[in-house]
Amino acid sequence: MEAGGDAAAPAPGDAEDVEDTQFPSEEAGDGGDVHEGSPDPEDGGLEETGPETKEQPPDLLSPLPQSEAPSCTCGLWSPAASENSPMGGPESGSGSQGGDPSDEDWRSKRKHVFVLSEAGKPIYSRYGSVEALSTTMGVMTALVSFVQSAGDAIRAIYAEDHKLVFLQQGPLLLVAVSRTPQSASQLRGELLAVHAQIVSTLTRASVARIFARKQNYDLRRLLAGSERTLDRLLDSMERDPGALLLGAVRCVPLTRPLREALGALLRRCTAPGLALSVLAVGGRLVTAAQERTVLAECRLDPADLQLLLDWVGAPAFAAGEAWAPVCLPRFNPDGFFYAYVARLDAMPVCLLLLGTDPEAFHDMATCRRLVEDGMHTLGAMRALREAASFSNASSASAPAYSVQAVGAPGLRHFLYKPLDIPDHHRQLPQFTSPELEAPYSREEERQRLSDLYHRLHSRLHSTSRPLRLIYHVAEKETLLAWVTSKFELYTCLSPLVTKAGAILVVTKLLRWVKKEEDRLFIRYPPKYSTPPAAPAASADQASHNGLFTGP
Amino acid sequence: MHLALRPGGRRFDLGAEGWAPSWPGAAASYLFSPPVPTAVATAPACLWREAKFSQARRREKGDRELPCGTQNAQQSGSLEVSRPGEHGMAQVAGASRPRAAPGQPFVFKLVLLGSGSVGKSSLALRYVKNDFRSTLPTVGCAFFTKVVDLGAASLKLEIWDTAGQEKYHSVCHLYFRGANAVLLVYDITRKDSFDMAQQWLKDLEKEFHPGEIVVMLVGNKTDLGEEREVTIEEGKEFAESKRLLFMETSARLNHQVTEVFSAVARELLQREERKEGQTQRRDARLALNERPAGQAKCCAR
Repeated sequence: MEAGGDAAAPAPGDAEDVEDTQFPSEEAGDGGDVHEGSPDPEDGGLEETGPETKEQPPDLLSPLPQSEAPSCTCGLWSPAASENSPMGGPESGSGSQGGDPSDEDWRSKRKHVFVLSEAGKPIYSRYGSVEALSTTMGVMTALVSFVQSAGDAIRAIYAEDHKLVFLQQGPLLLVAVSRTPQSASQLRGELLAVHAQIVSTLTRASVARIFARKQNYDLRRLLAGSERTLDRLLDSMERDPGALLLGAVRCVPLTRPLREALGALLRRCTAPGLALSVLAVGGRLVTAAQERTVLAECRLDPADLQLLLDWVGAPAFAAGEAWAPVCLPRFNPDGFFYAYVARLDAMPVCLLLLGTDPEAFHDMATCRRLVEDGMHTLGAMRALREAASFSNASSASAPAYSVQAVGAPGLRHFLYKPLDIPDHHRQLPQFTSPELEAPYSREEERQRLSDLYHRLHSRLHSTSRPLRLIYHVAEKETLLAWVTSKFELYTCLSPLVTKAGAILVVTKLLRWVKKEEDRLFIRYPPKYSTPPAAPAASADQASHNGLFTGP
Repeated sequence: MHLALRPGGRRFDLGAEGWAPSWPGAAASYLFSPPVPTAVATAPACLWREAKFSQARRREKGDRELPCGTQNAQQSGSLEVSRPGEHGMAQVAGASRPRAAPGQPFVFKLVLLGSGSVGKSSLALRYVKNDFRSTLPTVGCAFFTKVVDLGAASLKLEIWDTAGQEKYHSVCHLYFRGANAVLLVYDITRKDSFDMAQQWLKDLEKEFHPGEIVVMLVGNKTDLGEEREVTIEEGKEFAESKRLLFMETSARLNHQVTEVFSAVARELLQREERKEGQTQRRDARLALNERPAGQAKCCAR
């Protein structure tokens, strides 16, 4: 096997680090040739991995404790469950059943996520009923406080094929127990997203205050109704890992003139205190306009934007116009914005207006009518409807494109995030990927692809030994992942592709993306300036803002 | 079954107290509304708000030091930043404007309150769209409008369907401020939701004068009669003791849903007509004091 990097457009140059090994042995053999995050794109490490006969080598997860400071191995999580089915088996919506840790079905889940309070009170569990799990959660609390008593913090436990990742956020403890090939830091990223979701409804300050007041408070009371949101979040991370892996949002492909007209429209329709206007379809961005000063002083984190996109995509917003407080955890975890959310014209097109004035509902509603009228004048509704109706039946409301559009036979799927973007563009990190089509139409196939993407991502971004290019031959597909200073790319190719063929496909893909870039991405995010909202008066905002009055 | 109507226009008599609305909660409620700009400004990176709001905030600080009586006048001053032209009654601005323009139908703000999953959204959806489906918990608040034709007159209802979940309780004050009518919804199969409705009423009493708003107690889910935990008598008795309107409904079977809203609308209209009469009488008096009468609008008596 040889490294054939120079055939592709921006060639990675010499591959000085060609290895023909499998992942696990690499992780263990952390020898001398460590790349220190080489900033030079020419200085790329090329890695190849041979075909893996098993989806999940049993020894894959155990020996990689390098980057995780205090970790210990113990048999807390009996691996008995893993015999059941390698791909997670019956995943289909069984959140309500049992939850007894001895229950075979419960144990066979690929990934569990728990949220508990510092006092060990259960708050959320991905599967099963929280009540039945109180002893299990008790064990987790014990583990955490045991390590804490030694002045240390537990971060992860590797037990045979399981990874247990712990994340302490204020008075909340989040735990992931996973049999997926995700790395501990990827799992930690998911736990952070779960925490952000909780913070977005309650704010960090109010969570802290509640537990400061009453240590054994049952937070489930306040989170009632949010469980399903968390379930949805975890499901979408499993099925569509792009947003979280790449830290970017996905855009609806749209012609540049139309997108710019819509951006100009959002820029025109402002209200006092308005900070962000977003048009979205099915959790994907059409365009977003930001208040100029927000943009200049503090960036809108893609994680916050993704959270908003998921939020407005929720079926709870299907009827009427909604007006709700929402906290953007990365922007300011302790304060609320007020969000106006409406579906335009009974379409899946959703308008979100985020402002700071709690009384501005009617201003926002006026704003929405302006946007709606403007869109009718532009004929944008029809264009968006067409975009929405293109996508296949599986997700009728999410406009997308087929991988066929690239015109590169053998290419099955890809994730592409541009990095060579002008500064004003960087405010809105974006990525693009086509619809998942056959053979990735079944849940387990998608899961397999998601696992492979995760694995490649963790290799590219390994803290101890990052790579630039990976050519990975898996059992049912071939993958090529490549990160340069200009882009980050993950491609999934047919298993029969040759290496030269793969490079040809990737070259073609890069050319296509370049050509279509105006359509795929928001090149010039619109900005506007609004007068500030009328300030509401109060010293200790949090006590009433924090949604907790205490009955 | 009907709310007691206090005679006379005492509340807006211009006595020694000046022009401040006389219920204590009004001033307080504005003070305690979530002051988001301040919150945003506390973020380390958020210098952008700091500058813009510092001036206004200084003014607020001044407000707080003032004795209660003068507070309102001061505050309305700072409010003019966003709503010029609305004096005095700025606390209830935005929502409470019964008559938009002469010749236009009356506009009333109706708020649905109650515990989670008692059927507030279902009632609203049934009434506005004649639709019933299993809804997800409301986020914050959903807003609908519906024009009610009462034969002789028609009026427009702005329906605010609030979230019943506890996490949204404190923001609910935001939504029911300036309301003209409230539907207190409970689930007849859940005693706790009935208790919660009584709790909501206490909150309302803090915010509004007795008789200022139309309150109707609504026992929903009569289709689940066999699981009933709150008898119709209990509901009726409580409603009578508090002088509330009362009805039992089923959003699923579309039983008495429209009737609930029409009854409230009728009551609102009657009160508005009675008030118009009073306003005319008061106009004469107000003219002596050189105060525009329009400012007493929010007093839906």
